[in-house]
Amino acid sequence: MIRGSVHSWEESPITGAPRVSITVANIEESVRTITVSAVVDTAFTAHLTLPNASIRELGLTQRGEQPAVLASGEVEHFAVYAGMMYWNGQNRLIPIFESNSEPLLGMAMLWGSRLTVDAWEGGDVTIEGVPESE
Amino acid sequence: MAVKKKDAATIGREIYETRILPRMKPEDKGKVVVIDVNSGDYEIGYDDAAAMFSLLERRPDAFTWSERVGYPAVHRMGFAFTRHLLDSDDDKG
Repeated sequence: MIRGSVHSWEESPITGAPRVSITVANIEESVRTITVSAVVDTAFTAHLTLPNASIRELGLTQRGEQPAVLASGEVEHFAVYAGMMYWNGQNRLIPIFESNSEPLLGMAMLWGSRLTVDAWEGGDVTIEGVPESE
Repeated sequence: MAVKKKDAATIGREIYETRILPRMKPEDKGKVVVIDVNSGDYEIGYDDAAAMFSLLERRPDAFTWSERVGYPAVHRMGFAFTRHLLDSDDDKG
């Protein structure tokens, strides 16, 4: 189970953001890992975004570009990288979008899991694998 | 010659519109097409990550462009705070 907590406005520019700590690795050199605090964002349909600094730290290779619709309705092209995430006891190969927001963890990553959020300051966030859902 | 990264969207979209989209059937709506812009090879499926990694397994040097059949974009980035923090496209070459 992945655990995190809900942060207050003072701690994060995103009000009441549910956050979890995640570890991402370079596929070719799996010793290169980083652990970041990611905002659980159910309005983001892909797996994960990382800022440029984290992508460089991991030494990821760009594998392409993808168009995504923003909240404004505009379509932006995002650089896509391939990485590996340690996720509920498994290593998962995932596409990673480059975006200089805080890292966002999206619905494609959460798919097949149970997400619970105690929506108050310091509340618990849990993400639990539910195998029979897949 | 390898496609330059800045041309990937233009070339990828052309491959999609001329060679792939005409073969799509109504039941393909919503599937993601991941295209290697260098070879024109592609993978299609509802799981865009699976499509991308099976293409990369076959074409380890692929540089990909993706489309979702019947939609203007592959994914939705609903997070309003993100917009003004994006990099400009200029430094991604």
